[in-house]
Amino acid sequence: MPLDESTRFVMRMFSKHYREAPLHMPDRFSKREFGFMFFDRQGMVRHVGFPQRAQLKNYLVEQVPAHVYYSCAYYEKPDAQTMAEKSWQGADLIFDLDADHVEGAQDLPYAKMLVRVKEEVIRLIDEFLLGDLGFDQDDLRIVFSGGRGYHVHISDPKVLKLSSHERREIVDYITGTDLDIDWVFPSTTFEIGRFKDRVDADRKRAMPLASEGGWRARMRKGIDSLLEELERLTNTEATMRLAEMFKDSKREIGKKTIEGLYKDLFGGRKGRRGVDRMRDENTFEVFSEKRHADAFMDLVDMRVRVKMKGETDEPVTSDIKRLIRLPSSLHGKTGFEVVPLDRDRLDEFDPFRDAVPETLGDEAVEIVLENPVQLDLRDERFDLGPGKAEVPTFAAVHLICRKQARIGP
Amino acid sequence: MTLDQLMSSVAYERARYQGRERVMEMLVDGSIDDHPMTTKVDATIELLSYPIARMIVSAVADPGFVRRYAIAEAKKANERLRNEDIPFVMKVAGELGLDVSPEDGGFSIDFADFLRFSAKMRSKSWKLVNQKIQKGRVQLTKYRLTRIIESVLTEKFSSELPLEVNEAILGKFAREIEEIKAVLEVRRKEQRTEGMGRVSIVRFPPCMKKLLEMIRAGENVPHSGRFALVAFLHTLGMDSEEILETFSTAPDFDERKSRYQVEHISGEISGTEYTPPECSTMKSYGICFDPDDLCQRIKHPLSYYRFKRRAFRSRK
Ligand code: SF4
Repeated sequence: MPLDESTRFVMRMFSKHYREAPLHMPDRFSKREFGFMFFDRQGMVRHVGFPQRAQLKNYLVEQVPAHVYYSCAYYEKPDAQTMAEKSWQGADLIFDLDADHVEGAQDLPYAKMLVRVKEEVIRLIDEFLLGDLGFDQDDLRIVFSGGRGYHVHISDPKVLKLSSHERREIVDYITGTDLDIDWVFPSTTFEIGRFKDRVDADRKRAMPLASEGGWRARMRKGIDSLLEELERLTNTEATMRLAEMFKDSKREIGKKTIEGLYKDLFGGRKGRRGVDRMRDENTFEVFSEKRHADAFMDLVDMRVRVKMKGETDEPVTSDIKRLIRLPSSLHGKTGFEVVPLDRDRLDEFDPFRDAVPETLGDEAVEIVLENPVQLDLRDERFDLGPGKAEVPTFAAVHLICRKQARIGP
Repeated sequence: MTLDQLMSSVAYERARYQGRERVMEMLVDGSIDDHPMTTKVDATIELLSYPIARMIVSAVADPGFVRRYAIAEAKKANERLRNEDIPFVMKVAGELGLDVSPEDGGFSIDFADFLRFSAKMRSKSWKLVNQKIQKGRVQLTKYRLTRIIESVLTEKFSSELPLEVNEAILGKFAREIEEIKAVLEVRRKEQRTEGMGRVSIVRFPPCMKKLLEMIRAGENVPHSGRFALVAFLHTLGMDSEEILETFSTAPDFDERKSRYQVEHISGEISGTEYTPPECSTMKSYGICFDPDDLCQRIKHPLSYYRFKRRAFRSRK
């Protein structure tokens, strides 16, 4: 297949990048499997191992892959063709979060989408990985994927041998999957920590405390903020808001129930209202009718749990031999660098400024655009109409990779 | 004291007897009984009966039996531990390499240890999401901690067994070994005809019956056949241990290799749970053996099983 001029240009630039940029090497480098996809061939080349880093560098400079992956796993023989022969020895714990897993992010324009995904990544890291799970900042390697999201790699020795099932448990923890509401709100008739399948209609539930661990604390915080939100609203506003929240409820929750629920929580003299007792006495027993209590429980399950949960792509984390993008390689569909970051740099990180490869330079290149494009790159604003335009190399690579421009006629 | 003495000296006759008893109890009841230890001598004998029991188990050389024995010993240890005081439990945990700290009213362990040693417990209450976790530590009651210790011990015992056995041991316990082997053989026969636990072999489609027979007899089964059978058993709700147990009767049973395959297909390693292929695929692999009348009416081996179940019920 003869290559068009655009592809040849991008490959030249990628090759230059791999020649000049310092390559970031994963630990246990020689035990990792590598995989590649190319501009000029179909399919994926995998089961490749590199005993030394110079060999990988040569490969990248000469073969110029469009996408570079390495295995989160390390193997006895990384280049063997079958898994049994490879002999799995362990794998980093990986979290992958991209626009597809963040509600409402898919439909945003690219730059805004990345901002939204970053918010979720920060929550994942701060709340769950550094928070509940207690990992050390030094154990996390955060990576901008070069595409639509971020990865977090954890290589703390204690996680390397975790099985797929065990990793899925961590995902379930983050996403609040199978959270047992009867455990979160222990009923006083049973011992705490004991579970019964039977559903008892009128047991007395207690509120979880914010000082308790795990999802109990998380749910309490979520409830507190829901109550604060409602408290700030007037009576009519609040009932409207509640009606809206109950729209997706499985049961029919009518106007009367909503008003009753609101009255139970916020009616009466300040200091003695249901909401005050909930906060001060950590009790759930402030409802005058079972219907109101059940409706509130629905809110907790639908709104609070969903709001407090973290996001991450389940199959990536539970796959203990996944291939994942190599930090400091380039992403063939954006031309962005797959940038390794730490937590401190993450807040300020802007892919459109910080993931544009340094190596690409700014010599002028003539490109052709089908449609007008507006773009901020390396703190420079590009406002390009359809037709010919002259732009710096780094911008040309990005636009061509994203198929928004080409070189030549 | 040397191994020789333990094996032959009259002084240890009671220990040897007790060791034999341990194994036999396990064989018959699936668990090990409490032996009262009122005197110091009792305690010593009990202690010495462990290595004896382990040697007998090792000499029987049956992977399924070894595993069951390890589970039973660990369970026994848990029952004892539960009644011990907190410092003792902590000490045992520490010796087993668990990093346990006292927490108000209970204990805490690292979440990675928790995951590893609670993996077999499938109830919702053991899920990580339903634990109190702070800074990577999972809080546990004493009851749960000793249950975790039981898992650690099961893993430890399984990895230590089978021990190497010499002629002297084989000779000394020849009678017991024969006896146990005979019992295991009878059970295996029963299992073959009756089914495996919750899964009823009578309802298997002909293809799966045949594949199972072949594997158990150690015949050469193509990879596609193993795959189909494991996926089939997995979908019926058998876990990896149970499937391995079912295969372990094969004369050439290679635990390590089989475990890898089974865990791969059941999704424990790969993260993907495979489902068995449908009849047309089975046919093209040449592993649709002796289809019967019911086979004409179904498209998937699983429907065969489900269909049979219905047929069985309605007959009652
Ligand atoms: S027809 Fe289907 S169920 Fe019957 S033996 Fe063949 S593969 Fe099995």
